[in-house]
Amino acid sequence: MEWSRERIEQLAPDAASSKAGLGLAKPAGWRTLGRSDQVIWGECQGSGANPYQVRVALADAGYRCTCPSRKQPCKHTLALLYLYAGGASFPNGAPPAFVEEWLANRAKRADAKATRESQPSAPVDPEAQARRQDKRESRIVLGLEQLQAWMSDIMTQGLANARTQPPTYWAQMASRLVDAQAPGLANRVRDMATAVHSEARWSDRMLGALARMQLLLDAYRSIESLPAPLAAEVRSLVGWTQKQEELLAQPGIQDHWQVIGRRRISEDTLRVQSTWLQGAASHRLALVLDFAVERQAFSSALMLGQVYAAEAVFFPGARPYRALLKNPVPMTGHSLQLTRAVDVAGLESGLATALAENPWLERWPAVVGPVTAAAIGDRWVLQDHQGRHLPMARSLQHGWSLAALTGGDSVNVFGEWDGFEFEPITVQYNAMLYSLEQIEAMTVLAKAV
Amino acid sequence: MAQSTVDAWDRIISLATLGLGRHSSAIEDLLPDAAVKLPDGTREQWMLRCAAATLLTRLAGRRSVAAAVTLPARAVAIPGQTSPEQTIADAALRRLARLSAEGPKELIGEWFACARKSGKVLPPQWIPPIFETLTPRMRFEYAPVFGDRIHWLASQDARWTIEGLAKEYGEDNWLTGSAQERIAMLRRMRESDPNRGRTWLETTWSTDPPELREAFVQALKMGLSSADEAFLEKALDDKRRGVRLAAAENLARLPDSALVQRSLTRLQPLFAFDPRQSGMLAWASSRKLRIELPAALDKAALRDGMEPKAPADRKIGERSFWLMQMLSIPPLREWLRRFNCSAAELLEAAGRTDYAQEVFGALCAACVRHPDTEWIAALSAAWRARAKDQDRGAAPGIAALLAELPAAARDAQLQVEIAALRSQGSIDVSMQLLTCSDHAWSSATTALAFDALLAQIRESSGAHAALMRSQLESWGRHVEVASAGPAVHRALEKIGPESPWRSAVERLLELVEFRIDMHKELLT
Repeated sequence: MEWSRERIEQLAPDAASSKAGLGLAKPAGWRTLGRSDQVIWGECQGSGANPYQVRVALADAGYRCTCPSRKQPCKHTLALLYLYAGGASFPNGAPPAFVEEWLANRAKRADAKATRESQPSAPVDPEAQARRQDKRESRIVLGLEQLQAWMSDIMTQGLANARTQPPTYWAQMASRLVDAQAPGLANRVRDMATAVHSEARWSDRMLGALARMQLLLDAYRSIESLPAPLAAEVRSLVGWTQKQEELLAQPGIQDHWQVIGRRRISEDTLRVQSTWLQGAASHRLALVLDFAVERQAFSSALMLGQVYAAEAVFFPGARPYRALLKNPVPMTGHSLQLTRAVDVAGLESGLATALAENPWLERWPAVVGPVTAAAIGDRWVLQDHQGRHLPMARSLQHGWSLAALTGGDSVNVFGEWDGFEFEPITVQYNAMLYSLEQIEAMTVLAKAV
Repeated sequence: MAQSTVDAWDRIISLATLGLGRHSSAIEDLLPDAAVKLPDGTREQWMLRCAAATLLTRLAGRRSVAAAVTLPARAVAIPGQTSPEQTIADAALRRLARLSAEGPKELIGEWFACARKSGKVLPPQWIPPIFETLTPRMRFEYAPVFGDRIHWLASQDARWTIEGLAKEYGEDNWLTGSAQERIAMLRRMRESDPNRGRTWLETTWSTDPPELREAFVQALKMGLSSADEAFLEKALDDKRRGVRLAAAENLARLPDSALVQRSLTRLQPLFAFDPRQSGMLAWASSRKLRIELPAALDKAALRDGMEPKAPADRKIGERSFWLMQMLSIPPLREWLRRFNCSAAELLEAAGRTDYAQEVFGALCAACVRHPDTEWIAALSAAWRARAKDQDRGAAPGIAALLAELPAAARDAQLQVEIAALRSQGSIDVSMQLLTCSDHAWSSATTALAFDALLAQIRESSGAHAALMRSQLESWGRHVEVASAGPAVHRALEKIGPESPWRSAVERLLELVEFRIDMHKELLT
């Protein structure tokens, strides 16, 4: 795949790095530049005595730089790529020692990984494992009882009273649940702390959160009698997780997976990247989540607008949505289509069906269309051909961008519906995908590459 | 959705907000229509289970009502337009976003000027975020860059209207437009048909509010001609001071106006140059400039815009202040005609009077109002002499004299001044003058500028150098893009890595390359 400026910007950990990389992308600042078939390299004169040595593998964007930066990929790596994408001169030649070493190490690591994966993992002592699980189970049951008492107390004292409680009120319950090895429930309690202090509709949100929690407690208590997918969902919500290696060992759905949406959110030091995929043949929707701490780069390099041939393995649950992609291979020459668009009635009945399978569903991904964006009062809605309205998220300021783009034409929109508001993620218009992107200080509907 | 579900939810919320502890009644009475039968468990658990059931019913049961479809009229292609509008490239758009976020803001105008020149338009989805960052004036000036989609957007919502952009505007728009729109329209009309613009003004003058009248009179500066005199003369009697001052300023700039004549009459007894002697006496005695201060400012003088009180920070006597105001009004060539002398002679004589400094300032001000080549040459020569005496006002003084000239003349004169300053050794003043000259430099001026820069670097010393380095970046906005690139590179080659100039020149290079890239992105 071509290396374009947009691709490099997507690789950058943040806008500042991207800009710094651009600033360094001048041939004058590089002592050496060179390439072979697979690799480009360069030596960048930094502020230190010795130049920084950068290597980038063109095929899979593997990279390494000797600078001490904690942000990865560093500005030197980005600069080298910008030079390359900008057409600077990289003389063909035999790689110097520092590049050969790196390639050799990479090959060794790849071999070791392949060997590890092909070998059976160390035999798990079934008895010890069963004992651990029993222990965890009893801790969770105790934690649930404490949680139930705490929730009942809120109902007795009232939501208004809960709103006046100090942060420790919530933090303590959450940490007790963490001790009880039920991190999923702990997260829910922390989210309640945010909900109770929100401005709009706080009591709706609070009661909704408590109601769902109660349902979860009741479900966990009678988990034996639940159908298997629902039981798996409940366990997962409470906090039982499956190792990624185990998951990857299972069979998945082979398809051409189209990346129809991508979003990055920062919460404190944790950055979350959501990548939405739709199978070209199966029309299944899937969500791949990546996490990065502080300034790490995201491990997954799926590009918006690209199509990948891969196997998608879904996490266990009632309505499998979250997935991992095994060995994604980018496909060229495939165009992307948002398919299986539903109108508003279809979205509403779709949510009903989904809730019947998983009552804890809070956001329902769907492609809606054909719809037009319209401003009703101070809110933006999507209007379908039956005249039904889908209110868009209140925080939406880019309704006008959508209107400007389509000029009143109807389009297909991919987004998430929570039963009250629709949050658009990607728009398809004239066979192009557009996604809301933050470019410097502007939010723009940018074309996906 | 069934109203009962909404009611049930609201009922539960109100019970939950206060807390069940407040209610002693039996639970069946609290929610008589509860869908959930009472299982084992406490009242609180039951309430939460009811809430869960109601929540799920609400979410799953939502069914919007089909309605009459009210779609906005679609944006249509302009009839007769053969090819779709070409859109500006992505790289250029990202650059604009960068400019809007971090500046330099002055380059945004240049970006748009290039865009307009290229004939390409913004991709429609970029219009809303960009539109909001521009002033109404810029939107008007660069309207073509928004393409046709902006008109469709304006038909959807008035916030997207570009003020002053009615395709053929006429008296109707003048009468009904908003204040901003009318100011924009007046300015636009004064560019093409000034008399028509002034006629519009006259029709609504008596009913327009004072702030608007002030803005309108200021707008008459564009396309000013003696046809405007009658109106402006009447405006000298306006109630609002700002209107009177703006009118007086405009009249002062009309060389044949009655106001200028009145100033000349007032100055007649106050400002006289000895008659030229003939024969031997011409060489023996130097002509003297005789200056008398006015005794008072009469009503006519006040009406003509004379300010009775000098500003506090200016150390000048009251009567001198009056004289200097008067002196700054008439066109300077009038003195040459009256006194049969050259500008240099008059200036030199003024330098021998007690009021040398003030007269010099007044003559400069008059030259700004009525640009005149002979006087610009004489006055800038005087500034140059002062520059040699370390007068800090020299560079801004010369820049002000040139500022009102038309673009080509301004640039040409700038070159003359730079050369003259350099040949007298005032290289730092020449650099300052370049910094004060905020117009787009020609390639010749750019070459001169870099020449001066290299000379300054060679002789660099002392305090000036540090100040110069910080101002070098502003050069980057004015240099001619095509020739500046190689020039800066050459400069960098000549500057050693240790030089204190290096970082400033590198920043200059960044700015020049930014502009070069910008031009390339938009115009190729």
